[in-house]
Amino acid sequence: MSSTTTSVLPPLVKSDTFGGNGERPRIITGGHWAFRGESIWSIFHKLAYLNDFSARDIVRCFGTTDAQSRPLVRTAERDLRIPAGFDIAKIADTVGLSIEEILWSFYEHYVLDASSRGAAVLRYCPECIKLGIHTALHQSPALLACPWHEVPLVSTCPNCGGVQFYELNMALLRSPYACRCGYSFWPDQDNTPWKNRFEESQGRDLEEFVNWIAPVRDARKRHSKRYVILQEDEHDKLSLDDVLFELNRIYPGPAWLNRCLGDQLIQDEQDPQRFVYAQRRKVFAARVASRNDMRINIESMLENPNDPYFVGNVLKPVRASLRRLKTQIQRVFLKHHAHCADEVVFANGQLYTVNRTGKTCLWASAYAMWDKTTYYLFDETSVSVPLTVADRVPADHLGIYLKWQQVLRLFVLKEAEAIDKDILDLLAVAFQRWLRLRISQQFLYCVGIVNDIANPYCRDPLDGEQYPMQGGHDFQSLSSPLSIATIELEPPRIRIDVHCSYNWRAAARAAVDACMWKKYSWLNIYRPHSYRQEIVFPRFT
Amino acid sequence: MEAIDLGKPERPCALEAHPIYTDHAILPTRALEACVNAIKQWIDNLLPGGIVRARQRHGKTVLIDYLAENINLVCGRPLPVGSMISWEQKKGTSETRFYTEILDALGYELSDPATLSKLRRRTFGYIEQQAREVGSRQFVLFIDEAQELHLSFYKHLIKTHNELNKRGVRLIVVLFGQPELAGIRSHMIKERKGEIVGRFMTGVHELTGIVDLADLTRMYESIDEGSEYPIGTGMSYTRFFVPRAFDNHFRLADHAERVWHWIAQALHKEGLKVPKQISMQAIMSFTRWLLIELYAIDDSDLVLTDTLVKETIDYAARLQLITDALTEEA
Repeated sequence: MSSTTTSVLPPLVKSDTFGGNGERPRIITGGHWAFRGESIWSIFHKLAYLNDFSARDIVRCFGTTDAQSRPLVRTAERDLRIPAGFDIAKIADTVGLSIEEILWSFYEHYVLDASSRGAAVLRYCPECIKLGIHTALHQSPALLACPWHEVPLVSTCPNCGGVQFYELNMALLRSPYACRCGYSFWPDQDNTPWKNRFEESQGRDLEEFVNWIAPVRDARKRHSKRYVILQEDEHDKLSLDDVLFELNRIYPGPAWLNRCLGDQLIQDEQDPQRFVYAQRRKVFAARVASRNDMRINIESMLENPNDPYFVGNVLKPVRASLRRLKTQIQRVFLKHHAHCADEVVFANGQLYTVNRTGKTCLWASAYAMWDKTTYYLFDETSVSVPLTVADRVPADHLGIYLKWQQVLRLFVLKEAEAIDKDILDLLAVAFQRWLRLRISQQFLYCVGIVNDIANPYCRDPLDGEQYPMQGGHDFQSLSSPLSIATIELEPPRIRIDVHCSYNWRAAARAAVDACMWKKYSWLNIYRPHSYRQEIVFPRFT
Repeated sequence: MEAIDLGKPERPCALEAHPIYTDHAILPTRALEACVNAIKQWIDNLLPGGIVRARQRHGKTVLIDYLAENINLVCGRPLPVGSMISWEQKKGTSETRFYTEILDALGYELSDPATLSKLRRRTFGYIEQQAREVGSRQFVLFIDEAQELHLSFYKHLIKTHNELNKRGVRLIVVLFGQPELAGIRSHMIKERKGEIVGRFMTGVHELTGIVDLADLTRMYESIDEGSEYPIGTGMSYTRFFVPRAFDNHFRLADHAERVWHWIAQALHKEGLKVPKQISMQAIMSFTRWLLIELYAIDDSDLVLTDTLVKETIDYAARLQLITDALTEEA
């Protein structure tokens, strides 16, 4: 026993955070082997192997609070393609990567579009996986070969022929880095160090790909006006990998991408997998040729609208484009009124008879009406009989109808890449003008009710043109506590003075809905006892 | 270190944050230093383990917390460490429970019950990783209340010790417990349990409380001069509580004799003798309250009166002193 009494007690304060080791989860990590881009599937497999974890343990350790409460129940929370169900910071801390770097482990980081989530089953390079390497990029359906080994990516087990779903489930981690049949993809996992298997040059290749795809992905964000660009307007039925293929053609990506997309593999027809590459190239070439033909003969085709070639190659793509444009316009114009539009559709079935939807949101009613007109405009049967179409379209919409035709001609003639801001603006203007028409009618109608003014005409505030009013029963959404005292139309401004007896805020909202006006406008709400509320709306963009 | 303006009565932190007030201070006695040195010696000499016995309320648990946190400073090199408290093991303990408790004590993320093979793998792997992370080949495990340990626990501990040995990590187990721990050791020697004694009870050390006036003086000297809070300010504990008096050469150590006298008086009043060891709990409680009292009346000509000492002992430490005396008599 020591009897020395040398002082060896430097800090004589016991910390409150005894035993704490930061936020880092305390599990066996096996050192720093993870690399940027390593798929989360691979990371979880390695951690599960080190800690003898089941998939449930992984969720309890790295899942979000919601996921931990019901492990492996919800699909989104066990999907390895997206980080939704996982605590990203915790995973990053565990494997020694930053949060930005761990995002590279999810396929979401490599996609063109948020709607694409990559392959639902595990795809791997047989050469990479032997070294304990699997990147999230391997999950891209666009890549048919490994960027580094140039061998076809496969999704089946060489032993049993089965596939593994790319998600966390109980079977997945029962035998780490192996198929459920017991076959090990990475046989020497115990005998070789895990670190530095992924070389720096490979990391640079990944970075190159991400840098190439990032601007396109940004342009395709939901509210971007360039959203429609590279949408499948001309490649209607092309899947995302074909779009990537096309993107690479227009806007060349990394050099290795061509090899992975199949250019060099066309030669070998012995391998059925490689035959698919050639087939894809062939199909795509046919589509491009067909598009060129369409461009040349467009004028002659328009003269004969019943021509099946015209219907199949021009009309259908245009209708498909319009559907997407409608969705886009719905996002931009309707925004929070999407549910109202659903109500209108539900109430009226296929017949968008706005006349009968007395108390429906006016935005939704207008949208439904617009949808109806476009539907009839581009029905195969109605196109052949323009007069019938004109009958269907309300008389006051004829001007809009003509503008639509102009727009659509432009639309057809342009290449898909050229559907840019100008076209969208034109479409937006056309739609907006039509809406204004309805608005002006609505205002006069309201005034008519309140002040007993009978005006058979309404006036477009922009061009001063008069249109016959469609009767006072089109829109009746103004609720009873509201009464409009005066309306001043000073294009492009509008001033509405509204009296309300109670609940002025709700009344104001009702008035705003009724206005459907997004230019500068003033809405003056008078409460009893001479309270005046003025609301200024921002300019519509 | 930043120079402190001696004329300023302002303190660098609130009273409520001071370790004396929050009972987070560890006051260095000779016994405590001897114990730390003994453990350091065991670790340095690659002893597989030892026992530290002490009476209740003598500061074992505080010492474990202190060592667990400052083992790197004590040993002069990074050393992985874990600490756990024994549970009641009258009928032995299962291997599953053993590994679950060990994992829980080490702070492993998932210490819930699992299959034995999983628990074993996780325990060995995690301890090995802890050692490798700091570049050490040793892992120190402190076990509190070790007098409760059943023979089966030691057997599981031997397996762990051997398995870690295979992995190149030496497990050092320090058992902290009541004085009967020495009796358990003797019993095991008689029962020829050499595999346990040889591994985990090689070294023996007794942690004593305050045994005499010299101990108390030594402790108060540490409070006066050898302590510092907040770290880096150079302000000792005494100076924090009574800065004006401290500047006028007031030192607690100068009054240690008076304190000792009144402690003895308080016990005599109850018909008891001064015990051979006074628990750290009693002394800490008294000193804490005394400093808080002085905090309120700090002045350059502060005088520690007999009345104040007497009243503080009665208020803060009398019951514990009596308990110490009665326990020793028993």
